[in-house]
Amino acid sequence: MKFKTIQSQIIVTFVTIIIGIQLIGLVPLQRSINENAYKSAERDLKVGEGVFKNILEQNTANLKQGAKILAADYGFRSSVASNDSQTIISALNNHQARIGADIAVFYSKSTDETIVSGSLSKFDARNALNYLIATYDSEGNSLDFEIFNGVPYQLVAVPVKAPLIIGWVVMGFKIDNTLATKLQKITNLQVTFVQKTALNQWATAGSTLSSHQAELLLSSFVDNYQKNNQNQKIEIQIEDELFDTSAIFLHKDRKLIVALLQQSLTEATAGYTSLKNNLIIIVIIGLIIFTIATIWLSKYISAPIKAISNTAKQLEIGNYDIEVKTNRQDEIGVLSQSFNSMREAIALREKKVTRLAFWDEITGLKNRVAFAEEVKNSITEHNHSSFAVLVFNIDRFKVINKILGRPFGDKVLKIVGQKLSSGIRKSSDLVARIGADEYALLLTHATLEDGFSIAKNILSIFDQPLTVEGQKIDIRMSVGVAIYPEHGKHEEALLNHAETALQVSKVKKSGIVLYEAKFEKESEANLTLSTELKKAVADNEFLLFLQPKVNIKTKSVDAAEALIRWQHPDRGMVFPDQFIPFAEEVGVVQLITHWMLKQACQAHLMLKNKGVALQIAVNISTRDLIDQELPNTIMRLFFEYKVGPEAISLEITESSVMDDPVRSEQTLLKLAEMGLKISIDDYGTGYSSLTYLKKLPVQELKIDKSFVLKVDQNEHDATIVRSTIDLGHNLNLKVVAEGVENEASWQMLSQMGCDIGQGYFMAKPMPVDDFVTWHSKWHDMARKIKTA
Amino acid sequence: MLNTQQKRQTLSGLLLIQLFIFSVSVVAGDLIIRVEDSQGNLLKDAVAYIEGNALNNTSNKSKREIAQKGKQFNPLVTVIQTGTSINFPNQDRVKHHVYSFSPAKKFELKLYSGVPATPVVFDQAGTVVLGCNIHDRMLAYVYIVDTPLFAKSNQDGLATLTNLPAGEHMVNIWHYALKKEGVPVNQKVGIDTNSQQLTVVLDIDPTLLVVDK
Repeated sequence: MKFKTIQSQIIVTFVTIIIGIQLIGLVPLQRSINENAYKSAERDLKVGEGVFKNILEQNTANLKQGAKILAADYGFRSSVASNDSQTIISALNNHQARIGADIAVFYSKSTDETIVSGSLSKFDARNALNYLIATYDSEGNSLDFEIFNGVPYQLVAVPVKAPLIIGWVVMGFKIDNTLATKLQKITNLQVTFVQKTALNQWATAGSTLSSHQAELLLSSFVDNYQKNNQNQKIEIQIEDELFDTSAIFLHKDRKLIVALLQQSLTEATAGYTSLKNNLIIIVIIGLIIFTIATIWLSKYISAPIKAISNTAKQLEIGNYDIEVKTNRQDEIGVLSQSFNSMREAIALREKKVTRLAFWDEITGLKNRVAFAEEVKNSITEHNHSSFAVLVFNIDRFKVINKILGRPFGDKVLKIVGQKLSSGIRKSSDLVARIGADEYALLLTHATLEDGFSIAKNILSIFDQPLTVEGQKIDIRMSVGVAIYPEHGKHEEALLNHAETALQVSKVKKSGIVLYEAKFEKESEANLTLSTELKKAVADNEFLLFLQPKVNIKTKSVDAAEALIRWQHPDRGMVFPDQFIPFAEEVGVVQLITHWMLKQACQAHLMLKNKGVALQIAVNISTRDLIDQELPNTIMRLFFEYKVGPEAISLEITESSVMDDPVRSEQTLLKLAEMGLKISIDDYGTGYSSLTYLKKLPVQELKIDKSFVLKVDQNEHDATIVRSTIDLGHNLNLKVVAEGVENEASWQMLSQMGCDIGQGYFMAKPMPVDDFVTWHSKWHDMARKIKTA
Repeated sequence: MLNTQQKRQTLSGLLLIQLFIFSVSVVAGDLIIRVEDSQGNLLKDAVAYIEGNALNNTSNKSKREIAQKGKQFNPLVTVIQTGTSINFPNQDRVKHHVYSFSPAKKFELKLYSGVPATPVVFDQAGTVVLGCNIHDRMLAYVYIVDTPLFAKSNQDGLATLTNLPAGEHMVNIWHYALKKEGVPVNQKVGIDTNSQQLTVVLDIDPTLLVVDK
């Protein structure tokens, strides 16, 4: 059988078992009750039978006693002797009354006369008398029962002796209802007398049963008697009552009178029946209680499971608020609690996932997805009223992250987020972090002017350096702005356009940039540029320029920096500022670097042939540094041109190392092992950590020209330059000053102990072919410079 | 009762009476009668008597006694000639109430001890059954005959009639246990001077026999 619920399973199983047990118990109980009742009825019947016989004997004894007294009476005998009938009958009457007998008869032997007292004719009396007297034995016993005129009697015959027998006294009781009732009172049995009539048929002589019952009994008896013809115990059903019946044949030989003694089995079982009924009631009550308890128990077990199942369904549709309530300590309680904690954990995790999906973990701001959603909402809700999307990007954030560590970077991001939030109109505007170092602002109900003014305000906040973990840090931001609906009708378009504006801002370093449609064209132009760059490498459209690096002490020129110029077929000469960052971005820079290295080797050989030993420094970009192939490329060049590390050196920027310090370091170490000299370019513009620099295999530090250009006029710059020189020397580095534009600066640097100078004062970058000429002129120029 | 009698009559038909007569020619003689039952048992207390006019001149009326001793009458059977008186001396310590409801002589001697003052005279032939009203078991028979020629069988069942005149006589034999109650058996017998023996077989009811204790 399959159950739909645990509850019904438990209820059906347990209730079935208990009913089964009760039934199994009741069957033998019923049997034992019946057995007991029948036994007890049988016992009662047997006892009653004994008592019955005893009473009949007692009756006989009484009769005999009465008759004997009469027979022995001298006066009576005297009357008999004198044949005094009148006296005899009065004596019979008297004695009959005395013992309550129904009849009294005297038979005179001498006269052969019969005298009767009672309702009996002499004729009827005679036949029976003869029989009685004939059966009288020497012990004084005679037949006890006889039928007179269809009426059965219990009789005794006693001889009248004088002293020989002169006659007989017979006394008798009628066998009738009275006798039956009397016997019933004593034996506690139903007593019925039946007799055989003159027509040889059975009839009831007396009974304690109702006449109808007696009739039924009689017919049952007759049936049974005819079948068995035995004096035995039988069970007879009369109406609704079952009787254990015993038939006693009162006639020893003729079997004319039968006493039927009956013990009601129904009555005997009645006590047990009420016991059984009580038991059944108790069983039923027990069953009800058990069933209720089972229902309760099954509910107790299954309800929490149901609750858990319901809650699971709720979980399925995303409702995490329904708690499975329980204060139980058992397995189900534990299960409920586990389920609750699971539910809470899932809810928490989903919240977190949701948060991750829409919120930024680090700043606690909304993320790009959420921001886009908000922009979308603004479009639908505010129905065409204009608003602004601002995209902010932290300049050079990667560098901060690399140098100061990611946890620090995260804190910077968080603080920037806070600062941005503080710059907006809190109620309606929104700040989100939409990229690694990119934030977006949604300014509702904002015009172009509003957007600009808020952007300016925010930028002004970052004029002051941020304090992060006690360190002051300068943050510069680039901003792109797009306005709805002018710059896009959909959230993605707006965001993309704002980002395009941001890119423009970044490239041009122009702060706040409003989106313009032409930016898209520029982007197209960029695409063209990328193709053009590749073509330029292939077609050798680049030119190598050299700018000498002059030893300040000896004024000798041992090295030069290689610089690239693009001889564009349409645009003419293009400076590296205008294509190198882009080349880096689009991945063409490696081709350019390779071209430069090759050109540098050729230039070195060419100059060497003309008597100028010049080590040419080539700028290496970030992408080159992480390219593990770079050392091999250089080796091949060396092999190809049969030169060594004296031919070229490498210049790297701090930030180029920072992008991927591990791989960069590996590359640098390999290069250093090859004996290549490595310089740190543009020193002072980044977030250089000297401790970090110290770990790198560098030999030279180039101070950014922004510090050097006005070193002769600006004391602040002079201090920076001086301390940088000292610092470089302390780290055993040669120090190069870029942007030396006049003699004063030269002199100052010379005083500061700077090792090498580079700048317009000595020479502008020049084509390789011009270098030999300049080199020969330089000796004259150098002699004119005062030596400190 | 009728049935019983009829049965008895049927039985009596089977009765055999055998007389063995030894004829001797004398003037006077004795007759020894041997009384038996059908089984050949000798019967005591049987009465034999002969009636006849020739004997009227003689009498045998001497006084008799029936004592009561050990709550028994003694003797059980007394045979007397009519007119004989019998006294009933009480030899027991207890009193007795001797009575007779027999038609031949009805009397009673109310509770007494010792010897009653007057004897009872039995002047009518017949059987008188004596009883005691106190002790139902006490029983005695008085057989009264109208002749002086009578005898009672002794322990050996022999009754002797002496000095019988010669000639033919009718001998009557009675016993209290006879089945034909009260009806004596009679038999003719010729008497001479010699003693003669006669054997009489009686049909008796053994249950009626009084057995000595």
